[in-house]
Amino acid sequence: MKNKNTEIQSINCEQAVARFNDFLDNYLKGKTRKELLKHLAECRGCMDRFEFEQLLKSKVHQLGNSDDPAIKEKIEKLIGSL
Amino acid sequence: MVNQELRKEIFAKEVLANISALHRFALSLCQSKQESEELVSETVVKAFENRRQLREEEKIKQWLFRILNNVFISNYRKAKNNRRIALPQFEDSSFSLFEQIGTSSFIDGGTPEKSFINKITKEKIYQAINELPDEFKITLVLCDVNEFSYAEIASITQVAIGTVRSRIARARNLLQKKLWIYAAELGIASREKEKEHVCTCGNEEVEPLIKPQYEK
Repeated sequence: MKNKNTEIQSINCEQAVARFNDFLDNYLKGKTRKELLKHLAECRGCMDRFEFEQLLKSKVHQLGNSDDPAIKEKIEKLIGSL
Repeated sequence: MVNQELRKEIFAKEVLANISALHRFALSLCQSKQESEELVSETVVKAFENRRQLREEEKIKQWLFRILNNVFISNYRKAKNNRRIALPQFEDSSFSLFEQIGTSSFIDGGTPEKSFINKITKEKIYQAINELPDEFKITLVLCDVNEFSYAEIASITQVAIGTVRSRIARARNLLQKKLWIYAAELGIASREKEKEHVCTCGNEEVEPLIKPQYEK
């Protein structure tokens, strides 16, 4: 069976890191995505750094998890007066 | 007349369905809870005044966020206290908080970087985001907190998608620099010297830099 990895070009750490944001936001597709995945599989340092970036993004995302029911009531009253 | 009342009621329901998301956005932009509530209230009043301008009803969420963003920029930006904690002096887009804390000996039940993620509070993240320049703060919150796509953020903030993309990269970089100060306060990272990434992949010589293929 042909190893698909042989068709994927190697990239260095700087090139990999430059793709982190696109990958984090799910905008990295096709060849560039495969190259990054190959690099991450081979480079422990970049993999750890990427995992950290992912954790940080999810920590920021959690800011949106809390709801304040009081604001809904206030706005309902405001809408009633419009 | 009945139709108008019915339309107004439907519009009110749509607005209320988006209030929590709008309020979270406002909370990330403002210095206080009271200010965020005033921002949401003003947004709702403007939305009602201009509701006939909403052409695509399925895009009401984006439209409301655009109004809030515009109100924030025009009313609050100028009046806002411009107090900011100084950033480290160097302008380095490759700055990595991970590299700063990755070799720290501070371990609290895992790796130093995971310990830092566990230790950092919501309030500290709010504070760090709040201290970012507005254009970066707004873009980061719309992307990471509210989960809008780059195209939606471009529509809300009325800039090109490429600008959104570069602002997100810059915002994350600046946020890490802000959090670095906090990590240093916790004793998890040093503020003295930036540590460099040590390449372990053996691809250092790889050339040239291929521009990532970007798809909308």
